[in-house]
Amino acid sequence: MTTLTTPRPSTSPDLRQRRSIRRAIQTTWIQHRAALLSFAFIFAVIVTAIVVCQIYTHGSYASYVNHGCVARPINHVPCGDLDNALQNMNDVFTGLLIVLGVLPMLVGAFVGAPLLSNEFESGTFRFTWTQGTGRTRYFLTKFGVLALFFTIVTFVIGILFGNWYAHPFEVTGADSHWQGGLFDTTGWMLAAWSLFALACGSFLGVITKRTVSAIATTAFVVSALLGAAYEVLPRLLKLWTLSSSKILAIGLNYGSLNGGQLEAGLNGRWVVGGYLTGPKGQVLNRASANNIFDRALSSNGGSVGAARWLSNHHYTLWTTYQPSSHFWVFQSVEVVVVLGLAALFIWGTVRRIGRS
Amino acid sequence: MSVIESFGLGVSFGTTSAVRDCTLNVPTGRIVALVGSNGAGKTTLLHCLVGLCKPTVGEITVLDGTVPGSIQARERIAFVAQDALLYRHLPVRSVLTVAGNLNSRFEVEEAKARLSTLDIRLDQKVGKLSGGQQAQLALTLALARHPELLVLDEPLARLDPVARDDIMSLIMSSVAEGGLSVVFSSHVVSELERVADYLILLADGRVQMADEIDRLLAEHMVITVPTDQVDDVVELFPVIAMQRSPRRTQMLVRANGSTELPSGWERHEASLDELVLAYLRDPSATALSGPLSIASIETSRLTR
Repeated sequence: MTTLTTPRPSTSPDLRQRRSIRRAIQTTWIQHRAALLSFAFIFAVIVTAIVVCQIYTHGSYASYVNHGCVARPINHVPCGDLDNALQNMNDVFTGLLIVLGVLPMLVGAFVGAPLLSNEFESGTFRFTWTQGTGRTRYFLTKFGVLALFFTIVTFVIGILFGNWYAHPFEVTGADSHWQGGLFDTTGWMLAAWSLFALACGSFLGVITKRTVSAIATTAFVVSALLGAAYEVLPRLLKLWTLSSSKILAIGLNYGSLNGGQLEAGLNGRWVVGGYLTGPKGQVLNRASANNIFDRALSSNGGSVGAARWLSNHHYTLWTTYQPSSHFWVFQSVEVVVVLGLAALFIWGTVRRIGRS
Repeated sequence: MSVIESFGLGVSFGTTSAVRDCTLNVPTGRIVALVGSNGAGKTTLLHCLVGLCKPTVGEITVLDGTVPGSIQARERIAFVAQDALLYRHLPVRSVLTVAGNLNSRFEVEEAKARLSTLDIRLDQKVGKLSGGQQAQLALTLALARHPELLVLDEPLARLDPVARDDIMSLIMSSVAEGGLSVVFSSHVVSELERVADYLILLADGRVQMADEIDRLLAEHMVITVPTDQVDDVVELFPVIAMQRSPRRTQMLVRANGSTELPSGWERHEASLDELVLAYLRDPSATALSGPLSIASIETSRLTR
């Protein structure tokens, strides 16, 4: 008897890879449809809010620029009014900033944490672990698809929010991307933190093996680390500073050097401190410096008069600051740390599921 | 050609030993029934076969030397877990798609055709299926992978007699198609004789008996003797179990069926039910025909 067999059509590596990617996306979509749709809705609402609010802000900001308020003192009447109008719109901006601040925690708790804990809790890991794909590839494939989705979307949101919507508030000095909240939600930071939260949730899911516990633990850990980053940032910004005696910082709070009260060219810097040197170049202690400042400010002419008084008496006010060019360096450092932690969590998850 | 080969296999969870000193050599093409009381180590042994659990000591291979859990083993072994755990919130169609995406040899159309004969609709959610239908679905998913070894953990538990019969028929027809070995654990002893041709009996994590069922039955018989002659039987044969009444006593003994018996003694062939229950009741009894455990080998060496 002769058996006729149909030879399997040979497939090219490209075709196999495309098929493998399609299968990974399809499996992830089937298993995480509810979470992906919920987050797609949340992201759509956030993007819509950013676009609508930016368009609403754009009119006031255009007037502000057209009146030359960017490099003009704030007591110029139309600039003061426009500045107030923009400050009022800052409330919505702050609200969105808070939402974006908790977004990584939500991604970690509601997508990362159930990723494996759900499999353990329901017992379906006995089904998936024993399929041809294997547990490690199964996890990495699903994680990869989810990570790609959340990284792309949060990166777009971070750019839209931090580099487009935030611009008028930066220029007017209402906010600065150097501040903790904005620093961690603009550029690629939102994407990096979301990826970290996803990895952290997966790891805690494989540790706790219970969905609710994994969600609660992930929410706590991600929030705590985001809070720690917020607290550590001001200390980090005191490193690698530059000093200048050219910046008229009398009467200014430390922080952003944005705003209409400054001469052009200083926008984007971040003042982290200052000190006073005497006629012989010696650095004055805090008490002596305060005493000299009181005497300088008691002279007429406001901050300009005070600066003139200091100069006449051979005192020099030095301002330490981060130049705008350092911003991306600091963000890159934090991104590397956050992604490094994410990689550790992914490695830990793979190790752990290999033993389970 | 062996489907399972283990030597001195032991699995511990902390200080608890689930499987101990387990040495097996099961030929391919068999339907192997794994029997034992609760906590005997059946599920742990099955998990070792499919790579869900790693040996603490000793070694185990499947399908002629393949390491359980390796990619080669996963492609060739299908496992149906106890209670047929599947994604309850997904429709049957989606579960088929997921299974198809996770296996290179999965035949979706074949699985659909089988499910249609079982009246399982593709748009039904898995959680809405009856226990029997969920078991049928899990088995269908496993068979659609065209495995060389099918491992089933308590496939008959919680099933009504009709569903149980359907599952057994499905397993037997799949084996009849050729190239498939099956290992299943079960408490339903009455069903074993119909489907299984190899028996592994576990007690307290150890292999108490492991051999072809026909050979085991041939090496045991039930003898009924006057009660006052019980001692004569005990002298002649190893007695596994005894049912004593004032006048007559029935004993399951290990003896060849052709052995000559004194007049007045009656004998009949032991059924698999009787054999399994007798051994389950006495975990210290060991069938000689099964492979010797390391401990018993050591003991026999010491006593020589």
